[in-house]
Amino acid sequence: MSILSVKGLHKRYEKFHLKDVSFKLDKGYIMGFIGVNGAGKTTTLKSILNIVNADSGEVKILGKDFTEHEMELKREIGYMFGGVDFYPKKSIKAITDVVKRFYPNWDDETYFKYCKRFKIDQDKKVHELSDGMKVKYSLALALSHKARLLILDEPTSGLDPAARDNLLELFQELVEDGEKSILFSTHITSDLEKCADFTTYINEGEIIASTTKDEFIGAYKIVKGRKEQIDSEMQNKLIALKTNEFGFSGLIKTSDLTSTDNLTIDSPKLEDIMIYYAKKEYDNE
Amino acid sequence: MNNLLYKEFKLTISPFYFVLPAILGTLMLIPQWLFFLVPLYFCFITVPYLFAAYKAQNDLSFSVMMPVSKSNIVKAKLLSIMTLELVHVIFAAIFAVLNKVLYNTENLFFNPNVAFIGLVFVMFGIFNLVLFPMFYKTGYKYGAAVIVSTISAFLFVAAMELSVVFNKEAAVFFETDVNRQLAILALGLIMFLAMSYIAYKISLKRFKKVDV
Repeated sequence: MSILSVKGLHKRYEKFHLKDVSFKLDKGYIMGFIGVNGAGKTTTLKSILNIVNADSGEVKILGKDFTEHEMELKREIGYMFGGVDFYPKKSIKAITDVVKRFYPNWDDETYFKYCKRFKIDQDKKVHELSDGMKVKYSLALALSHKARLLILDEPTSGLDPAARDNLLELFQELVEDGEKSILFSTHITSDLEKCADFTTYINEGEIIASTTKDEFIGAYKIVKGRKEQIDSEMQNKLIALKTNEFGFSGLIKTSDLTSTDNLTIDSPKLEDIMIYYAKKEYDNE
Repeated sequence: MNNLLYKEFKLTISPFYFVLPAILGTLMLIPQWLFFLVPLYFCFITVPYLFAAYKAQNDLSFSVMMPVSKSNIVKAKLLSIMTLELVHVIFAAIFAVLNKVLYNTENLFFNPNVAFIGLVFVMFGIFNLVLFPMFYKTGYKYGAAVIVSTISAFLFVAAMELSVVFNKEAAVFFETDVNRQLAILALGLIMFLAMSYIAYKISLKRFKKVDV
């Protein structure tokens, strides 16, 4: 069953347009939502949660229409935008005391279990927490009301490599029971390589692909060759290309690859796909 | 809704703002003073500091992270401010009685009587009616909203003060018949509630369009 389904989400700003965003996430899986800075990741997540008013589109969570059951569903899910950044001078204890009242499913035992595990000191003030601790505290809050879907905006950015690895391992552990799902955005591609089952890639407000990680990478190839091999046909097929003294390299859809005459073909990394798409936008401007 | 109010009083509004009305209330004991300034200090002091604190503490982003509707966010904010306004009125009233007991003289400006309390309610009603709809255009920009609403409240009380100083009929109207004064108090309270309700309606309509 789809725990989250997004269909035809549109949001138009003066200088940015979220175009027809659609994807699905099933129960028990982790989906990484990637894109460069400004690609529309946060806007998409906020539109899903009705924090930003989408112009059109349909969001279903746990099979229910989100706008119709907004309050009920918001109690069933956990979401976080860049860690806890409110009431910096208040203690963790004071904030938790307020937050728990909003959730009928709140469980103190789970809360203290995660606080102990994450080493969250209840008497510390929010501004005394490191970025990593802020993320962990948000997670502890989300998990303590038994959220079945976690929507996390850039939970790993600002964390050191060890803390990041630790967090990604926790993600995997959380979905193990097959009941919870996680959708998290990131611009750090190695996060996905470590833990995501599915990848949704957004570029300039448009979903390029939403599929398994391997399928996504398999859909593209990097081709390299000499400069004179770039004819107009080749240029049309290439998503973007880089040239230098010795030749060129470019990103191409695997399905567009017909002749392999004297071209070197490599599999790209996630990062390459992001870089070439970003280059395409840059070249078009 | 109750949870949001709990949040306002536990996390957002410092307890100091509940002590302040008592301190400011003592200004009602200054002989021959402009007593409307006492409740007006709420607009000058409490509101700008409080709204600055909302912004600095990311109060709005906390609220939208909770499972609450936008209407409850606006309602809780308005009710918490109305509670503070009521505390100001109560302390102003207590010290107004004390003023009467201590001096029992006629004032050059508006007498601290029952009608005065009624008009303070009207003043807060006007203040809310301007402040909240302007504030909820964005949910965080408070500068213009605070300035314009304070000026509106000030213009109203200035008109009231000047009327009793320069117009004998107005002075008689507001400062003689106790029954009439009680009617003004009741009417003032109704106007305060009505204007705050309209403020809520307009604020919500605007806030619904805001992308947080």
